[in-house]
Amino acid sequence: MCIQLPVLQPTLSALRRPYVVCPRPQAGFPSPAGDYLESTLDLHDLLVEHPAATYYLRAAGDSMSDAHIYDGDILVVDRSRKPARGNIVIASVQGGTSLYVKKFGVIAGKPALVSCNLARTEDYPPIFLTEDVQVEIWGVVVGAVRKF
Amino acid sequence: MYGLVDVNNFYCSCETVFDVGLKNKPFVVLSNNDGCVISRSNEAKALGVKMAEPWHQVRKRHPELRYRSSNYELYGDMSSRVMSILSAAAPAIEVYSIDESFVELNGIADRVALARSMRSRIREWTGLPVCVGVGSTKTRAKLANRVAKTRAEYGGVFDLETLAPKGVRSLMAEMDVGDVWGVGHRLKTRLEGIGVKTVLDLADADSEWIRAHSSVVLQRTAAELRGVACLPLELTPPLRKQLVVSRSFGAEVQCYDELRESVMTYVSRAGERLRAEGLLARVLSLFIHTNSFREDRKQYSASHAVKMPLSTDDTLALASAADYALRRIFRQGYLYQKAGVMLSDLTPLSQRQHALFVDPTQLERRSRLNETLDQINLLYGRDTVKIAASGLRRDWSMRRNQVSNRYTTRWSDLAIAHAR
Repeated sequence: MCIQLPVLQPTLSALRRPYVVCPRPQAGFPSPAGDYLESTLDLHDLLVEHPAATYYLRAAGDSMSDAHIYDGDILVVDRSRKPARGNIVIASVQGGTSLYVKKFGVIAGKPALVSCNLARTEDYPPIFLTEDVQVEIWGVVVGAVRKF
Repeated sequence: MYGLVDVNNFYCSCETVFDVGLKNKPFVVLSNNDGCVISRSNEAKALGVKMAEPWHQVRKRHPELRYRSSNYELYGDMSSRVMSILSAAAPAIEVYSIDESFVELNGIADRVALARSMRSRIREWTGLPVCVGVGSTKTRAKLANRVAKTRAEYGGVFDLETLAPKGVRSLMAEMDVGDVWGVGHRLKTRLEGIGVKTVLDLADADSEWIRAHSSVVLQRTAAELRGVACLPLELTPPLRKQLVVSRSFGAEVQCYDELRESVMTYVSRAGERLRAEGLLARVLSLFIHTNSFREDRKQYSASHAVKMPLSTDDTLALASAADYALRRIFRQGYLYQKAGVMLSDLTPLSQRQHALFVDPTQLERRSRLNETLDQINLLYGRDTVKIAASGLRRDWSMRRNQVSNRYTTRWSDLAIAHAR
């Protein structure tokens, strides 16, 4: 009796959701766990609620370190989520060429995109959303992935 | 009742989602080897850049115009996102091409409202702009889509069947016969020659007269324009008859070894696709040719078909057939511009015939080898493991000078979110 741990799974979906293939014993006592089988935990299920709307972006810079987003992190971005105050979002400023990761917040009653690095507030001033500054919210950041 | 959903300027729109600096800028996407314009942003259209125009001509007129090489990895991924959103929203869909789908709208009370919500969901979830046309037949839905696309007042959604019959007729009278689905440039010229100039002219033409002057296909198109549905939704694509992998070379190839490397790469690709679609091939044809536009040079083109002893999806078996064919047709002293591999006589894997003198365990081992190759290449990127004959240099490979990142299919290519 052996449990095979295949390195490579036969299909794409199996690749994304690896599981242990447990051959049925040919003889002997059946597994007492047989009636309690559940599928193994999969990080994809935890992070991705809407696969068609989920994208991954890479964070660059330290302006969000107090929100626990660090340089090199992979951001999980769900475009199906309506951005709400307090969300961390991906945004672009009209006419600009870059996407930014910022907190969608309020400063002195005015909506703004805010950085989260208390040590360097001077370096990363907030962008206020006004008539003149057209900002487009690209998606809502729902998680970050980091490998050590 | 049908809806036709299609993405505006699909390839350009995919690029803009991840490269926001291209937003509202004139730019184009070019075909393989950066040959012709295959997608234009609205601003590039406004400059007068035409579809399928050779890039070297466009470039002379607009030296500043930005361009991207085609990034099919990105377009394929974005397309499948759009199609999955549509599948969830409509009772049934037929994926018609990479950027358009027919959706079934039977029994939907408020079709326009549903079409609008599909449109805004695709916009939100993917960033891609789409237009939706609705009609009682596929041909009418296509026509309605044309209206949605060209007349801004409809906000990207137009239902032909909300108009009274009189309204439909006057709309058709305003539209050019070339706007009808299936009426290409040549057919349009011919129809105009016999007095069929507008969409209404075609819809009103006598059925037998159309058949006599053109074809049964156009007869059916005219019936569909009048609201007689002749083309149902094709829910399962018909079984593939053949599979072709071919490319023009970035730089012309003269020597046998280089040509063989390219052929072996196409064979690997064809093998992957066969296995992905669960098919076996019995016949492999190989073709090679020189650049026929270079009249100053010696021309040569040849092809050779090999019937294999058994239907197969094994890359190594396909490779040896291709190797044999190439040795038969290769001639020294020419500059080759293109090579390709075509697989035909295809059967589903489930109908595999077993042969008397082939050991089934041998077949099994071979299929596991191929499966492993596919898995490794899927996990670690294309060509991580490949047949040695496909070479390591790739001087001949496709020119894609300005290709953007594979933002959605490679971890190394993710778009950057600046934290600054």
